[in-house]
Amino acid sequence: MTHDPLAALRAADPARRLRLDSIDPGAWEALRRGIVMSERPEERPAGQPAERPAAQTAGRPARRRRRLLWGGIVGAGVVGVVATAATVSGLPGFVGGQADGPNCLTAWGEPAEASGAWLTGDAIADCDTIRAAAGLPPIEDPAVFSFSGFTYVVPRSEVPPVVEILASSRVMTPGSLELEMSLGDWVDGGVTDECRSQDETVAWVEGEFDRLGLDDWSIETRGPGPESTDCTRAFVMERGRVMVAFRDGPAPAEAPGGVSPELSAAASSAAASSAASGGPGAGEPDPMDEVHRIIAALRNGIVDECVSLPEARAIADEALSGLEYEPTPTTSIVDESVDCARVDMRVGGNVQVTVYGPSAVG
Amino acid sequence: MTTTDEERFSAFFADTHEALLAYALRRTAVPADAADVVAETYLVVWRRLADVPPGDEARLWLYGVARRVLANATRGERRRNALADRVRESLTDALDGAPASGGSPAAADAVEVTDVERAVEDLPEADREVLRLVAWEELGRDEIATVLGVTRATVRVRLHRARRRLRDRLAATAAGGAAAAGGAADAVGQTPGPQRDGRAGHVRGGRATGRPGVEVNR
Repeated sequence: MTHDPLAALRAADPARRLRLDSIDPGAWEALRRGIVMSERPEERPAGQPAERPAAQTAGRPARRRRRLLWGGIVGAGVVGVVATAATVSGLPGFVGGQADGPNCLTAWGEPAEASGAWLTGDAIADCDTIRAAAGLPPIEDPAVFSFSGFTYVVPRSEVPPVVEILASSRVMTPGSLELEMSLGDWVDGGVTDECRSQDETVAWVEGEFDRLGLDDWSIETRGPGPESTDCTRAFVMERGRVMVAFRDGPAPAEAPGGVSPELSAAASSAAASSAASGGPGAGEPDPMDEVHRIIAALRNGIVDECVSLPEARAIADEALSGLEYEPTPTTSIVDESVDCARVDMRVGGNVQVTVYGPSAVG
Repeated sequence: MTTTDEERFSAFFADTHEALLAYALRRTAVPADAADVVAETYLVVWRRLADVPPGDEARLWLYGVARRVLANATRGERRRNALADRVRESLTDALDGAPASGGSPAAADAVEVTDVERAVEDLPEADREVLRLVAWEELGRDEIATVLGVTRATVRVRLHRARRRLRDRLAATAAGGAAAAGGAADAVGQTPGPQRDGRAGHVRGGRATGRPGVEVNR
């Protein structure tokens, strides 16, 4: 056995086993000629958009599809934005990322091996959990920095020299994270079959601000479009701003089975994402049934009862255990200021559940 | 298009096409895909000819472009580029006539070649790429930094880490299948994965736990 691993690797060079010089020179010439005859950007007719060079589209995170699905469901705002090197430049090795969760990289300049939504708002802890769920170890000697609206966790040795390491890995406050979860919550939160008017949704969001101590947050409203219903919903536009907008499509009560188009679309996306990752496909149980089963279990076991955090967690774990695909890691947050546990569940690309509550019930 | 541009591209093409094909072949599971990577890479070069740096750095820039083309190809649908048809056919013919293994003396040891290939494939992509660039493209640290778009210090750290992991992997393999399977995490020098403690729903990572009062699971 060779003691120098690089020597062994050199000996295993796949290209050395081939006679590359035996390739027909005419084939190379055909390729060269074809390329120089191809269109170049400066030769486009005026006003025609440029074709994006392949190099500029590189570096998308491996799970971009899933994140886009999620973003399409969670809201039309900034949540779920995915950028690529084509949209932001100026930082060597920048490969884009996701805005609705930490970007957990073992090497700067490489796509994330695993990605996910914010769980607790602590970037390092969330990366550890996301990676553990994917069977990966924690990032070694992690450091956190932000760039162009994205949060990255990378080994300290990989931090680009031009960025500043954050003093704290807590990027999102508990209140702002719970607000995002609550606005997108299917159990008893912002995503509901109820048809809430604009005034009702605004009042509900203001109540959430009060409950979560978000004094500096504001609400903006958007008028109805030509396809809008009378029903509204709210989503986070950016940190500190919530938009209340009218929903498109038939009112929930008119939708087949009384299910809102929003819920149906999200469930379809969850199914599509699941199928793309090897989950159930055609002929498998309707994912909408699964979602409704989980919602019912969480309502019956947590919302309609007064249970402790551990009990709520057990109910959530049991409800999610029947899923054919792996949900986003569930989060438990201790809140001793309340008597009973509460729960939020978001759906879109995946299912994410957070339970909050006291360690014991009086 | 100007004659000058075509001449410049053609000279660059002539200087680099074999090296680029080798680069692509080393990183594609199906040799025919390498021809498409070469064609797409040169299309980018042609469109961005003004960005191609002068001198030796041009080849490094080319590898950087090819790396991104490869990254796209592995994530998206496999596309066949008509421009690459003849190179693909000729490449297939060349492969048909190539020996199954062993272009170099060391390659005669088929077991050792298989072990190192397997060991490299088990490493994280960042480790794999820096090792490939050293061993197969025979690049120096500065050159690798240019290809990867990172600092020389980062390359040094990655290379040190990658060599150690590869050496440990090979040692574990040599020590026997049981040792390799049982000690894989230690063998690659990584922190062991998160361990659950007695409390339900708590994951304790090798370093960063959730903040006090927060439990995370699944």
